[in-house]
Amino acid sequence: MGRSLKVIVLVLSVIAILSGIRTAFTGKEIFAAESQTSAPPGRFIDVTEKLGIHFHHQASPTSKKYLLETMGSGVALFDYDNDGRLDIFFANGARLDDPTPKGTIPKKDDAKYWNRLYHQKPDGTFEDVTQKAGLDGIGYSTGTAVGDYDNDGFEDLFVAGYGRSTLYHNNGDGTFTDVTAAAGVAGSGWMTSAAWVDYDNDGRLDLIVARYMQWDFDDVYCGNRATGFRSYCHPDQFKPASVLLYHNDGNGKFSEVSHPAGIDKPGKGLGLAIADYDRDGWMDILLANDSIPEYLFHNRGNGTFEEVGLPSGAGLDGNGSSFAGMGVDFEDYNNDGWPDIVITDLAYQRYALYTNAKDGTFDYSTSVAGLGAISLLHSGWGVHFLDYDNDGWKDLLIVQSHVMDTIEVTEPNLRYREPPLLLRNEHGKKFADVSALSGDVFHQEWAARGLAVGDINNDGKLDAVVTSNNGPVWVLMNHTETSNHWITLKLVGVKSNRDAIGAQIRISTQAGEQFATVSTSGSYQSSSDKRVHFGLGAADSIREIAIRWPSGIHQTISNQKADQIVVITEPAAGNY
Amino acid sequence: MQLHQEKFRWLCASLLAATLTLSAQLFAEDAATTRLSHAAQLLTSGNLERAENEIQAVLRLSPDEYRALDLLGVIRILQHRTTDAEELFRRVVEIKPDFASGHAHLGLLYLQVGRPKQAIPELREAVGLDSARTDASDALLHTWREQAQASTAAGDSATALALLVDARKLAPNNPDVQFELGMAALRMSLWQDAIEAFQRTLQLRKDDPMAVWGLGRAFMGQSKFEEARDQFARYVVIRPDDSSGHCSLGMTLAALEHSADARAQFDQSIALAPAQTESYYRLGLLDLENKDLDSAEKDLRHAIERDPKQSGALAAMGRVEFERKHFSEAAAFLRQAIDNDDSLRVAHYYLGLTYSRMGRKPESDRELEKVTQLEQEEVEKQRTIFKISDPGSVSAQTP
Repeated sequence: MGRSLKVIVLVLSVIAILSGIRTAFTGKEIFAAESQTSAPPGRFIDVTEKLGIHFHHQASPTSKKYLLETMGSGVALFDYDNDGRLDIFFANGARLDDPTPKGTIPKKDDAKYWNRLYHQKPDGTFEDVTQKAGLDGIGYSTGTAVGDYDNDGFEDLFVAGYGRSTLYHNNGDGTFTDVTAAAGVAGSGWMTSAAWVDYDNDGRLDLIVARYMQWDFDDVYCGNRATGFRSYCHPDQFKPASVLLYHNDGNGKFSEVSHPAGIDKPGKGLGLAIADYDRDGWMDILLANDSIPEYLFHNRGNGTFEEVGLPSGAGLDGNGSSFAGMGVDFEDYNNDGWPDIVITDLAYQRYALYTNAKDGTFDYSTSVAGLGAISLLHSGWGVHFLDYDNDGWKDLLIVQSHVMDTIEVTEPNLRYREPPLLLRNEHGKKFADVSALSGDVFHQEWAARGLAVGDINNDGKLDAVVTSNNGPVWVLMNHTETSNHWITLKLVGVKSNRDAIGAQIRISTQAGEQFATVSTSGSYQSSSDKRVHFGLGAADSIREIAIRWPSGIHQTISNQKADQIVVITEPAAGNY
Repeated sequence: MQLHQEKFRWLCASLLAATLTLSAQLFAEDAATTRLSHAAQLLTSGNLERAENEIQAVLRLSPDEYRALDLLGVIRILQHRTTDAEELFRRVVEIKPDFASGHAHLGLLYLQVGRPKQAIPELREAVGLDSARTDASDALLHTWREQAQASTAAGDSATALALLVDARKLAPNNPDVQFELGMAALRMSLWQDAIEAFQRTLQLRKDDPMAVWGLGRAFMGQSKFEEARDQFARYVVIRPDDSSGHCSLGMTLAALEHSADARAQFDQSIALAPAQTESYYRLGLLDLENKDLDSAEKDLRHAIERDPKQSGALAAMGRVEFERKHFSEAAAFLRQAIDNDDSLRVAHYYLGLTYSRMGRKPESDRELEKVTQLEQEEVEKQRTIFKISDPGSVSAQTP
């Protein structure tokens, strides 16, 4: 943002001089930034090389500008071997010929196209264990979703892709088995983000997979022939495609229930997030659609959903316009106990922030929360609420880039590569841009796409992993200087799904209450640490931790000390 | 009648100028046609009778001598015998189709007698055959611009645009043509074409205020708010007392999220023209975005009092009441806004949300469906515009 404003001022100065109207601007400064924040910044450091991670995403760009090439792939942060340390999985592209014949399902015919699993060693560095784990993959991979679908205590991995997705069962010995065919979750079309969610509260994780559009390798020319540059086609050029909902039947098999569940409304889905926005005990699903209204699937609690995006107020922006929804997160940013929504989109659209109005509807809060001014010239993909400074308020980390690598030709004020954005939550009222002071990484321009969040080094500060399109990845270690306290909760379901995905947590400290939902989904095509992290500010203990498990069991734990990772197992019985 | 006489004088002047040119050419190229050259000189000195004698002498020897016939046609015009003149010029172009003068004279004659549709092809032919024929090109340009103005007045922007595109091909360095083309493109939401035309206008006529304004407006249409802001800032320097300039600058600053600066421009606009509605409406929108509902209401009521049919302000008042959860009041304002402008998407959206909050689901669904329909229509319209601008391509991914 700062750099963009400097450019504006420079351009204006030049115009002023050229047109002889310099005096008009002297002393007036009408184009200066409106506000500079004094909020405490974060400190994120790029440790990718140091940790031994050398992944490079292969988008396989062609002269045909196939849309698939610019959408990137995601990342998953999860502990696949239960050693207490987060590991990292990167999805990767595949070979695309130039041209690629229509109907082609791309292949990973070279090791450079492999997906990669990096295992975290006790010393905090990583080793590539892809081959041993059997996760090199097939096809053009896009999204990742982590969940223990068979409740065996080992995290399984779903990798979405173009044409075919893959479900890997974690064998518990460092290896994975492709069980896609037996499970029946290969899907079809262009699959993007995916989420594990127990939508019917039967104790087994179900799977929802977003699909982008009905798209193939057609040679469609988009852009301006006269000026001689070709661009990626707008989604308006293609027909929508519905999400796929797979019900976990409990025997390693899934049934595709999109239609009977009423969730098959065609969309242009890129981001998926889950939360129980109306606190009725059933997990709802938010689908971030590109250039059509966003969908909010309200869970009726009887195995079916009703799409209520528009009437709920979360379907369009404050002017009733759709936008290019890409990444999404669904968390309670103002600590009122009701999940809110943030959706990233393209420059000039402003990132959408919807505050839960506690009556089943949402208020579009982008401007009043300061997000409009901050995001006006930015295009965002991965997004995650995270309390980077442990002050008890969930901040926002957003990774950015325009979708068109030629954007600077048509829109000189915009950039294809952009730095990430760190926004500090000012007590649930406003967000302040603290990027400029939060480390070198916030001054580097990336074609970023995926973002996963988790405490990689278990130091009580949330870290992040970022992917880029046709480029490197970054592991951002959080070294924010703060004396604030924290607690991380790892929930283990018994009657509920073992990951406890969907469990709702309320913590009380001297400073007040905070709320969170257990989830690995959200962001863009990525999967984050399932453990729930709370910053506690000055509080060195938690008065009460209250959990509503997906099974309906209520559990309360009192007087927990801060600054620790606590494992909480679902009790056999509790207060329903 | 006075107009008719003026046209006739203009035609005569054009013809005499052309005749002078012709006489010079005749002298230069053929001694055998001395008689015609002499006739041309006599004609230009006003001695029509002697000129005709010379011409008739030539025609007696050579009845199809097209230059003689052409000169005779000029004489007939000067004698107000337009039917005879037309017959002569038609004969000229029949005998010698590549004789620019014949086409030019025929075209000019058609203009004189009020037949511009017939004039245009003749004048085009003349200019095509001889690009130096300024009499024909000036007349053609004049006619196209006049017709474009008439088309615009009749609401036919497409025809106006087509005429001005032709005019620009003929006179690419004419700032008036460039400006008028920019305005026509602006009216058709052909933003890129408008931008190029206004930029060219400004190259030819630096700091032309209306071209600066048009350029800003076209940039706004493209959502290039920074570029728009630059142009409106330039405009208010050129015309500091024009309230609309400050209002436009305020709009771009608001779009760029510079709320305080936008507010200052709206205030300035109101100070210059207190009776207006637009700046009050825009101030109301700013307050609404910041959820300062009381201030928003104050400004919006100013706008509505001055113009009870200001659909934007009515819709914004509906949003104010919606935010207050005064749903009946919100619905009333939003319905009024829609009654005044059924294509106002934001009004349908908030009416849909309002009905939803009131538990009136069928009505809510209908309004929200209308929102989607209106947006799709806008997308289709935009796609068509892209095709006009660049027929070889489909729309590019833009924000």
